[in-house]
Amino acid sequence: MIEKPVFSREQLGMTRFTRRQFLKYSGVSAAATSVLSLDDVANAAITRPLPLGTPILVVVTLYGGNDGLNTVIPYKDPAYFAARPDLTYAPESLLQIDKDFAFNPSMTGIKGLWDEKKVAIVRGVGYPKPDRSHFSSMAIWQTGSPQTHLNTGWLGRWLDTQKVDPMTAISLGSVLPPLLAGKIQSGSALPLGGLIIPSGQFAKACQRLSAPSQKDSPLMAAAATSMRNLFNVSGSITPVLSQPAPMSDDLPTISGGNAGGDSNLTQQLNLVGKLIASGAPTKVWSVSLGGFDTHANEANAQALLLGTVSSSITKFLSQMKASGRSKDITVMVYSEFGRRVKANGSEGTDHGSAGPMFLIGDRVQGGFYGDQPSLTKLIDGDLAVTTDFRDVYSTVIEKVLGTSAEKILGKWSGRVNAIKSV
Amino acid sequence: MRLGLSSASAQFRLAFASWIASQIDVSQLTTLIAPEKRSAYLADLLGVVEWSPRTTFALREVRNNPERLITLAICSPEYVVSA
Repeated sequence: MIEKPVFSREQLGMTRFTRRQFLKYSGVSAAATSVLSLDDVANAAITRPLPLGTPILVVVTLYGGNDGLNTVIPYKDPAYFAARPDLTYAPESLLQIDKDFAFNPSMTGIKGLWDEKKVAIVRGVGYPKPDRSHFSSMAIWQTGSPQTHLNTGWLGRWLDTQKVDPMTAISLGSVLPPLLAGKIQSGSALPLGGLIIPSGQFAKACQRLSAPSQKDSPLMAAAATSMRNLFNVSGSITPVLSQPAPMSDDLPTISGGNAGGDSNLTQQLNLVGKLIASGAPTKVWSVSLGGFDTHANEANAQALLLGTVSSSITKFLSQMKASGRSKDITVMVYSEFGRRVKANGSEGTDHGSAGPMFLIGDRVQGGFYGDQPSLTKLIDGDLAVTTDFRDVYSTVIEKVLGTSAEKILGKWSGRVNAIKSV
Repeated sequence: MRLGLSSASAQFRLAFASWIASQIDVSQLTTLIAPEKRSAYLADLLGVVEWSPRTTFALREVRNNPERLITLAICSPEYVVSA
């Protein structure tokens, strides 16, 4: 039993410096953001569950600039091997997609979903005049506005079209990404580790301290209630959250390349899965994984990260089958940029431009979308952008969230026809 | 929902108070103030006019554990809404 509450530095707001810097840099001034606790979400799940059949979007942000060329690998192209001789994977380890492309060897889960035609790979995604700064490029992707500086996120502007409700969009982690910042309302942050509450003697002391008292003013009563609610978690929510993750027969046994055990993305998606299964009235979830800034020794590091992305998404979707909501869920994966085509001197790659995006789920029409940028016709050594990310966003806004894209992105005609009509 | 008084904020207050209490040199409190006078001493220190019977009871139970006493005093409804 933990007697003293243990809180991570993150919960105390002591880390995530770069994320805060990013918020500052991108100039996002969110409408009031709520920090939710698990019991807030779980109580909402119990009292007003999301109707079955309501589409749910799960956005996965890969921070650092994921190397698209080593994610969806043009393994037959001699120019690929010539540009990065020390950075390629053994040909026999690649997971073949078709005669020209293969997945990174660690992406066994997503390869399985691809075979089930549930994965859309949108190639060469970016925006005009690529910016190679992590901060400004991520700000452009998250605000959805390459040309003009906006202080709202594209999903924040979608939130502004919805009824005000802190449960509609939730980001896992203690800091809200600009993505979910709107003018009228913003998404809510759900810190991980929300279940760490005092126990033992200390819990008893806290419960004594938060007992109702006739002498309490309304505000004092609210303060007492807020602490008492912390301990009610065990009553209403723990049954949902303490259920072991449902196991599915179709989960591959992962060995070798995916080693590394639990990662934060796995925990985030595990929690999102449980909350979706419990009926949380949330239509948009945001999760993230950092570490893609592979300037050195890329091959191993990226395989580990992509392995985590692949296995956690696969496990998440597989768990959703039992809830009856798997057909409602669409996962979108993106990063702020791809990387240079040519390797650097440290067996890594530097910041580049276009990269692939993934749309994954039952409602996705599996296949390739957008043209693969040529490896020989580079622009300043970078891949050409063949698909604007607004094509993908517009499609997601209309086909998944059922809202007019013009309200959110202005007039934009490009679409990526990767989502089935209901 | 009162944003400042949600259970998430209660959790944060508990965390912060525990940390603060662990950083304080409590030797003065333990050597100079008798256990039965400690909660009144903390009320003075925190500018709380009077502890409610509920809080008085909660603090009395931990008066021999200064770190916990300080943590609870900081998290008490009386102090939370006066600060």
